[in-house]
Amino acid sequence: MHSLSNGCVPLDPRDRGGPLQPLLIARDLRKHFPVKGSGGKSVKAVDGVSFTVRKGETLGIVGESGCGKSTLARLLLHLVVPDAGELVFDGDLVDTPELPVDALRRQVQIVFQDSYSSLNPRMPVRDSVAFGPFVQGKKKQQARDIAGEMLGKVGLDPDLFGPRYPHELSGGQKQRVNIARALATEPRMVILDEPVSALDKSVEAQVLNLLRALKRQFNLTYLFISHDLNVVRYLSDRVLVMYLGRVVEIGPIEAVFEHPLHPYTRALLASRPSMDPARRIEEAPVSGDPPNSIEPPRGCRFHTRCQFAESPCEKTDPALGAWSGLQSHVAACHMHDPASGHTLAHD
Amino acid sequence: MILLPDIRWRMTEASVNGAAALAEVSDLMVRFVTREATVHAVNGVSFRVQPGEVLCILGESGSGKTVTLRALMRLLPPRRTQITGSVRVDGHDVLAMSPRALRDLRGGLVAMIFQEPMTALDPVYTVGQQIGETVRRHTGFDRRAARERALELLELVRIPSAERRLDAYPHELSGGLRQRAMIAMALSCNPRLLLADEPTTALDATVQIQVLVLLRRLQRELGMGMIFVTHDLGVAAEIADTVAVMYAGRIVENGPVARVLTAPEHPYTAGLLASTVHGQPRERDIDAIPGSPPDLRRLPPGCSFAPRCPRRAADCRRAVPEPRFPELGHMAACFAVTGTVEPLS
Amino acid sequence: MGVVPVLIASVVGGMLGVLAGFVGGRTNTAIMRLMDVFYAFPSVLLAVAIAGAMGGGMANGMLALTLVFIPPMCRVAETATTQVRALDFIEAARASGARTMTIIRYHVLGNVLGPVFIYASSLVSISILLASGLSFLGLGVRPPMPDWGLMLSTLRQSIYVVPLVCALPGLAIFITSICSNLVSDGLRAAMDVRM
Repeated sequence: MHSLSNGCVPLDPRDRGGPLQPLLIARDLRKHFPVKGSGGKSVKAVDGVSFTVRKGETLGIVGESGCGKSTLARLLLHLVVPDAGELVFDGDLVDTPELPVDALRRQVQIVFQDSYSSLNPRMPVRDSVAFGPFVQGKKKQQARDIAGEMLGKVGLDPDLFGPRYPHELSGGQKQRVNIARALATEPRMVILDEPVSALDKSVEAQVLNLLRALKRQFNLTYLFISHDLNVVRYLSDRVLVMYLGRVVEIGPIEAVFEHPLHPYTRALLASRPSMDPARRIEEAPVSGDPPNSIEPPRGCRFHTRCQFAESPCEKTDPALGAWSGLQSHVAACHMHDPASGHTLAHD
Repeated sequence: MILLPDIRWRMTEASVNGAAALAEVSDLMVRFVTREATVHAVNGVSFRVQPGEVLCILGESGSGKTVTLRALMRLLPPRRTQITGSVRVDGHDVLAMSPRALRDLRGGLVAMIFQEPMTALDPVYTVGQQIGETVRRHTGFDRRAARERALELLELVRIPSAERRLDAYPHELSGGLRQRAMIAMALSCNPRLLLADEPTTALDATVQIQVLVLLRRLQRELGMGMIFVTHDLGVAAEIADTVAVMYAGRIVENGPVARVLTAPEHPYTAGLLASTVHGQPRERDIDAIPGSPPDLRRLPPGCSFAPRCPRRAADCRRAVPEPRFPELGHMAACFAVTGTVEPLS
Repeated sequence: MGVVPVLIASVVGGMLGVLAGFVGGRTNTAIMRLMDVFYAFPSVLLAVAIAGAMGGGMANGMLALTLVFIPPMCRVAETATTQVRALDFIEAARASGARTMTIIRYHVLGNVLGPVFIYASSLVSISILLASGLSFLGLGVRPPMPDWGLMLSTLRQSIYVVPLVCALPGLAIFITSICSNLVSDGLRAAMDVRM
C-alpha cells in the first residue's frame, strides 16, 4: 500500500491533473556523448531510462560514478538536450508548444553538488538568489525582496548574509544559498544533485533537516540524487537504482532496502561500512570497478561483475519486471524471470 | 592492544606490553603563518601508535587531522609552518632530522597514501616505472630486480593482469586500480608505518569496501602500524583498533574503537555519532550539532567545542579541558566527563 | 597614444573573445584562428607594416596599434570566458530560464572583465613603447605635435653634444611604462585577494 506523503495538502494553483497524475514521467531517455577522434564511439551516459515521479514524494536516485545520474538530472531540465525519449510534466509534453522548456524551468529547479562553483564569485549572495525571479519577470527590487525572504527561510539572516560574497561563506552556508536560489522562483519540483555530498557530516545533518522542513512548507516534490544509501533511505519515499546508464531497480524505499531484487542493489547495500566495529565486512560484496560506458557489456550490463551471471545474462538485456509480488517494486534481472532460462528463476 | 595516551606534563616511558611505541607524538603544535593571519591548525596533540596497531584519526574539515598526519613525515610547507613539540617514529626524532635522513625515512620506514590517486601518481610515467623508482631509491636493486619487485607488489594488492598493468599509465587505470597501484607503491619498501590520508573518500561505495578490506588484510599480513585519517565513522568502524577524535586542532577523545564509537564520552563524538545518518527514523529530524566549526585563525578561549556543546558550563570557556580517563585506555578531554586524570588507575 | 589603442582593442577584442568563448564550436574556431593569423606576426613589425602602409600620422599610428592589440585581448577574453562557462553557476542561470545575453551580461562579463582589465593595463606600457618606436621611425606622430619618441629621433645627433636632452624623453617613456606595469600588478593582487 502506498499513500501519498503529502496527505490532504491543498493543490498548487498550477496543478493540472489532480493528485494522482504523476508530476513527471520520463520515457526512454537517451543521451550519448560522442568521443572525439574515436571513429563514432560515444559515452552512453543515459541509455533508455524511464520512470515516474509522483506529486509530493521524494524519489531517490542512487548509483555510482558513471551510472548517468548527473546527466539524467540535467536532461530533466533540458540543460542537456536528450537524443531520444520524452518528458511529460503534469500531463504536458515538454519541449512542445504544450510546455516549452522556459515554462518547464519555472516549475522545476536544481541544486548542484559543488556549492562553490554554483555561485558567481563576483556577485553578492542576495543578487545570486534574486537572479532567478528577476529573469522570470519580477522587477529588480521585488526580486531582491524575494531573495531576502528566501535567505531567511533557509536560516541565513538576509541583512547579515545578503551582501556577502561566496568566498566569505562556509560550505554549509553556500549550500543553503543554493537551496534559497532554487526555491526563489517557486518551483513545484526540485532536483537535488548530491546536495550534501561535499559537506561535513555535522553540516550535512543540518542541511537535510532544512530540506525536510522546506519540503513540507512549500509542498515540494524532490528528486534526490546521491551515492549515500543511508541518506537516501532517510529522505526518500521511493528509490531508483542506476547502473551504466540504465535503471536496474525501482520501488518503495523499505521494499528495496529490505528485499533488494537486483544483485547490484544487494551489492550496493552490502558495501555500506558497518557502524559496528564488532561486525565488520570480511569480504567485498563485488569485485572490480564499474566498466566504462563507452562499450558497455553486451546483454545485462552488470553480468561481468555479477556472482549469479549465467548464459541468458550474456545474451539479452533484461527488462524491468515486478518479480516480488509488489507491483510497484520492479527490477531488471533474469534471475527472477522464469521465462529467461536462468536456473535460479522459478514461478 | 591498549593505547596509553601521553599527558601534557608527564611522559610515560614504556607501554604495557613493554615494546617501544612505533610512533609517538607529544604536544604537537602547528601554526601556518602568513601576512594576513596565523592559522592554528594543531594545538597540542599527543598520541602513540604501537607496532601493528591501526589508529584512526577522525575529524571533520578543519580539525587538523591531515596536518597532524603530514607532520609525521614533515610534509608541511617549510617556510610558512611553525612546528613545536615532538614527533618520534621508531625512536627517530622526525622534527630534528636532516633533509637526507628525511628522504630515507619517507618511503622507507614510513609511507603515505593519498586521497586522489590521479594527482598522487605522475601521469607521464607508467605505474611500473614509478614503483620501480621508489624501490631503487631505497634499495640497491637494478632495473630488472626492481621491475620484478613491482610486479610482486601489484599482485600483492590484487590487481588483475598485473604484468600488463605494469606498463600502463595512470590515466589508463580505473579509480580503484589507481588506488591499489598507489598502495603498492607505498608498500614497496616494507614500511613499518603506513599513513593514509582519506584514501577511500573519493571512491565509489563498492570500490571503497574493496580497498578497505585490502588495507586491513595487508596491514595484518605485513604487521604494519597504520594511521588512517578519515571523516567517515563507518570507515573508522571498519578499519580501526583505536580512534582519536579531533576537533579544532586538538584530540578530544581517544580510545578503543568499540568504546569510542558505541559509547562515546565526549559530547562532540556523541554529536557526530547522532548526526551521522544511519537508520534514523524518517519522521524525526536528525540530531544535528548546531553552529559551525570555529575559525582556526581566531580560536575562542577555553574549550573550542563549548559554543556548540549541549553540556557546556561556565568552566568550559575559562580553560582548555585536560584529558580525563573514565576507563583505562579511554581518554576524553572534557570537564563534564568523570574520570581520573592519571592514565593508570 | 598609450591608452586609446588599448581601450579600443579591449572593447573590440573583448567582445570577440566573449562571443568565441561562450558560443564555442565552429564560431570559436573561426574567430580564434583568425586572431592567430595576426598573432603570428611580431607586434613591432606588424605595427610598422600597418602604419607604413597607411602613411604616417597619429590617427594611422593609433589604428595600427589597435589592430596589433586586438588578438591578444581577444585571446585573454576567450580563455576567461571558456573557464567561466564551465562553472555550475552558469548552468544554474540557464536553469532559472535566463537567455544567453542576460547570462553574459550578469554572470560572464563580471568575471571576464577582471582578467581583461589586468592584461589591458599591462599592455598600456607596451603601447607607449610601440608608439614611441613608430614615432622614432617617422611613422607616428608628425611635428608640430609633441611626442617623446619623435623627440628621441630628432635628438639622435645631439647625444654626443648634450646627452641629457636625449635622456629626458627616454626617461619619461621609461617611468610611464613602469607605472602602468605597477598599476597592473596591483590590480592583479587586489583581485586575487577577493577570490
